[in-house]
Amino acid sequence: MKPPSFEYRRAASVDEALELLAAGDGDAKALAGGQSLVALMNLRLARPVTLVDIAPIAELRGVSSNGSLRIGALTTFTELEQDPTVAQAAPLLAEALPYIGHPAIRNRGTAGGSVAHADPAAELPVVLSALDATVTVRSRTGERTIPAREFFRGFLMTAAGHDELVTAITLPPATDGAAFEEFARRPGDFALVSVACAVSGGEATVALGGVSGAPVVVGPTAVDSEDAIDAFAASAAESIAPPSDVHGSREYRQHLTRELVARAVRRATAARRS
Amino acid sequence: MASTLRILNVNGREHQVNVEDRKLLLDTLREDLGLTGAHAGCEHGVCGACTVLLNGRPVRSCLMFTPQAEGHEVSTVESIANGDELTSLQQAFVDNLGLQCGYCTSAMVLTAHAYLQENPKPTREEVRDAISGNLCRCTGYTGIVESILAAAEAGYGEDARAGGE
Amino acid sequence: MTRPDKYVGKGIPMVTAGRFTRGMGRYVNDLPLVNVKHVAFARSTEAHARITSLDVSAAAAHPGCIAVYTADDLFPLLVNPYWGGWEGTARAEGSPLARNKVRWVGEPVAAILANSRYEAEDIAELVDVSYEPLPAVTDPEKALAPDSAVLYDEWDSNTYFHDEFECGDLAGAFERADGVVKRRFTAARHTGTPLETRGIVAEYDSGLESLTIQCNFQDVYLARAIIAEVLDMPPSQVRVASPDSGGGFGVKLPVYPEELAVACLSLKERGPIKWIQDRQEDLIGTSQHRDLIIEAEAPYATDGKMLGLKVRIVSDGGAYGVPARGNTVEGMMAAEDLVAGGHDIKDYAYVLDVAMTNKPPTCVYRGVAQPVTVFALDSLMDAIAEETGVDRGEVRRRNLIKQDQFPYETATKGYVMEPGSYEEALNKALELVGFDEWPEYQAKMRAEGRLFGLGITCGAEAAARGATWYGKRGLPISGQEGCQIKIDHTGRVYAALGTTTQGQGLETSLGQLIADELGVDIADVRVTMGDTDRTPYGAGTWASRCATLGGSAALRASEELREKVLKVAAARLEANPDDLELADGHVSVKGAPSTALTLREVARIAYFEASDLPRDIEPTLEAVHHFDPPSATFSNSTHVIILEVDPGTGAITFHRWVCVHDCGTVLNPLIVNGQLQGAMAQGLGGTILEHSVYDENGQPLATTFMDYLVPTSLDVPEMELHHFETPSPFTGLGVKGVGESGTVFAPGAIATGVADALGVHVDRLELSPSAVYDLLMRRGNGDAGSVSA
Repeated sequence: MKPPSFEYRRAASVDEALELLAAGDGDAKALAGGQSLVALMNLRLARPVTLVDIAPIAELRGVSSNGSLRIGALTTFTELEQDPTVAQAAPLLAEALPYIGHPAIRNRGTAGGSVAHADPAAELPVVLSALDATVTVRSRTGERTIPAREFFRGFLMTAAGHDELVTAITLPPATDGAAFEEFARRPGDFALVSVACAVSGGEATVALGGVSGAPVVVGPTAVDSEDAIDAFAASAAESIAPPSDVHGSREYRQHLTRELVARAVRRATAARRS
Repeated sequence: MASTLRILNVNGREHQVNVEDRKLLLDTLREDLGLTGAHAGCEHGVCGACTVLLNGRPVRSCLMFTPQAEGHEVSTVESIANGDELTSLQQAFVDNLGLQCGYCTSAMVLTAHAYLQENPKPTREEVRDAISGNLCRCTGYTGIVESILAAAEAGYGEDARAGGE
Repeated sequence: MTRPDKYVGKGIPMVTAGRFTRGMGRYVNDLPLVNVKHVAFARSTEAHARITSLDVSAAAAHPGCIAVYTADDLFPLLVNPYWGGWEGTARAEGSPLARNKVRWVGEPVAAILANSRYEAEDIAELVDVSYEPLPAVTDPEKALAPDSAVLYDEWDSNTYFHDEFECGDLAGAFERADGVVKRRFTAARHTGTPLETRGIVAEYDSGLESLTIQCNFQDVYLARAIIAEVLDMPPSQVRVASPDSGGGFGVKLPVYPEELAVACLSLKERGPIKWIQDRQEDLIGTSQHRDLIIEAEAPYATDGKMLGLKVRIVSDGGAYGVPARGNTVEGMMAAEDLVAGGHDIKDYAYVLDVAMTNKPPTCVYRGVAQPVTVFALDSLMDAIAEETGVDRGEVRRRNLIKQDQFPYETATKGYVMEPGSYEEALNKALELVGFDEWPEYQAKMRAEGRLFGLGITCGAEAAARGATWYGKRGLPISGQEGCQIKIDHTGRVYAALGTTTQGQGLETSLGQLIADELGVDIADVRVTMGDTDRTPYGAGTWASRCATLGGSAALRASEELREKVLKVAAARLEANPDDLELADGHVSVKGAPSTALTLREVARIAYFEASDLPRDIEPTLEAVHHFDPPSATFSNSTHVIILEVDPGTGAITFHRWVCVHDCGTVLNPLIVNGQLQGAMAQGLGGTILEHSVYDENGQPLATTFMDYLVPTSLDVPEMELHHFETPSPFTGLGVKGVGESGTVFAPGAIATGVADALGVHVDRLELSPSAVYDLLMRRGNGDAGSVSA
């Protein structure tokens, strides 16, 4: 499958990118690593009229930490994997990174790209939702910061406008405990169900991926006993209406959710205790 | 659609190509530069047969438009050579039945070449993990794993790092 | 005469492998071509519909459009439209591009020619087709019902093929039985997905009136026969050559509509025409397999012996008779191979129906039906063990054919089976996993909440079919294989066979055989194949036939050539040929090694000094032989696996996988092991991961590699491989087929293992985590369980 034609423009700065996106009037898309977008274009499922290549924009790269962890939109997943600051400041994110595709995908895929693409079975949106992270977007008229839990609206849909560019993602300080669980058909595949769990002050919050159009956040709920953990896992499974598709039935995904939430909460609380 | 002149750095040399912006890097390498070692297996980023190295790291060339490769160093399997001889990595593939039809082999060799430099003495499990993004339909993977372990045993990773290969 | 085994039996690396590690393979998409035109197809989006209008004007008006072709344009070229299938199958008219109706999503409706594939795809999108949808036929049993929509207006049903058979005293077997096992087995539809998709380059030279096809067909002679017949050209004017091939596994045996269309187009165009299939086209249009229903009734005695077998088989055949084999092979092989699985079954009956449905056609894929029949047979063995209390290993022993029963004619009289190591392989495999200690071990694991299971498949695998299977049923498929060997004037050896290569290492394994026979260094032997202009008539690569049949032909040709070399040398040395030996590139007098000629010197005489030869010896050193086996050869195998089911996720973990295998004489253990491991990976994939899913409207749901899941290095365990060698009395050197064995025995081993782990019957060969979850629910009466506590 070969992609359809498009106009290729390269942006040297954020301002230039924003001009091009605005001029596209809804038919222009930013191109970062292209690991999601180019695949869709090869399948002719996405047909942007203009692609704005933002890869040259140095301002969008880099990770900094001062309490919160700020990740530039063009930071690749490999860069995140290899940055000791990330492992230190965001253990939940660090745990999720190896699940993202394969090294070749992570070498090109970017944090901003994953967020802008908003696949509910992708790992980063789920982690950001669990952590109550924020997404910074900019347009020609200004910048705004959107909580991740409001940013992901549905399947491949975000709160960003067509003329807005994701510039950074900010994670709050790490919680007491965290754990990431995922079950996929094969290692590196999109999740059938993924669970990002953050534990704080005896309460667990989980974000569920692969079960709905956007990550589903459940909690915070007290998880101070085995029974409480099981009850929490059961209620998380009951609160969702996942799809049935070629990879699994609805009932199976609910069962899987219950199993993975229980595993994640147990590990997150054990990590906290130790 | 109009073609645009692009300057690509491939296998250590600069090349001029005149291609549509939408032409995948994979197709430009194969058709315009005659480097047919990278193969199309799916064209949506899953099988890895199109693997090339971008600044030394494996990437899927079917998920890049040609203009995106400008300003980077692209290496294909054709650059893995010891003059006209096989490198010890390639010889290991030959000696350990690391291939049958050969269609995934360019990608496996490149992936192993990059990986062994990062991790010169991997365990069997680590090797399996390292190639998990490259599909093979013929071998069932055992021969490929044996080949990479044999190359590691022979010190391929350290030699490649030092530029000896 | 002595034949030193310098090479045969050794694990020599593949002589052809080096260039692939350098990216120097030459697959069809790599061939350098001048002025090539690219083809893309406009394809049906409906599974079953009448075409009410087809407007190509917008496509034709595109500035990059060189040509657009529809069925009407091709019709005059299709002198003899080809419909695949042997005698007894329903017939319809074949058309590479849809005429009037479409019958599967993806059926080609129009062919577009442009200067690039990119542009051709742009133009294909401009083809405007209107459809009047018809009810989609997706269930093969419903397809056979009288009220079903019918795919072919000229037929009164969707029955493509029907067959019934009975032999022995089945009624008596049921009467004598102490019990009857009744099960309904099904398997999930899936396909071969070689990493290299299909592709063809066709060029017609109107001056020479010759058509050259380069295509990764697995049988170049069959392709030539079909194409020549369709276009009404003498076969000698059609050349079909296969360049390097990135895998075939059977799915590159048909002559598909696209390839036929491209061949037709090349007659209307100047210069090479190229079509390279993309992965979506592969997943919606290449043949699909294993979609079988086997309803079995097995009467048994309390000692565990199965007394007979009665089956009803339904095969989902897909939408059209695929050239040339048609769509019956899988169904027919299921019927034949249930009684050719190594068990002693003499009282047998089957009813077989192959139904047309709105899906791609069913042809042959590695193992063909046998993965499903082995699953059924071993599940029946376990069911009998369960009902009688006889040990699972013992039930199998009691049912396997005994050594003194060989040669064993199968109940359908389809085959005569040669001896193997059936019981030895079973015993060895069970011993290796510690079968006697298994119940205790399993109980211990269960007490820890871990669901461990042990799976067993054991039996025969048919390979290397001869003329009786296809040729005698009216198909232009040669069951034989030919090998021509030449010693050139420098003394080097060149061999050509009518097989093709997809990486099985035939050039190496046959090179070993030939090098040993002719006493030369393997580096001086070059083996080539896969070109109708350059090789003796053969039948390509399928049914694990190449080393067996090709090897047998190569052996005979080598023997003849060896004799000739000795006679030529004898004439020069003034010796008796019986006193000469050929080794290390020399012919020498036994016991007097200084009296010798090099092979080069012998060749010189044969090529340039023929005047010195006795009257009865012709010049040059060439020999050609063709070999046809009696019916097929039979390898045997036992797989025993220990697996664990995670009740929380439905995932299966493989803890041990033992395979004891007998493919007769092993030419090259490295290559044999590679075949077993690769085949097993495909068997595993087809059981747990790969599924060509269709919805009730006939829409394919697994159209990319994101949904059609090929096993990765982390999904395939390593097998412990052990070998017996029971040479076949039918083939040269006693070689038997090995290529499909892993695929045949892996699925049933997984299924019986899961059944053992969960204590439930596994009736469907589809064990995705979700399907395992359903089994867990059945087991736990509504509670699948968990590991997280």
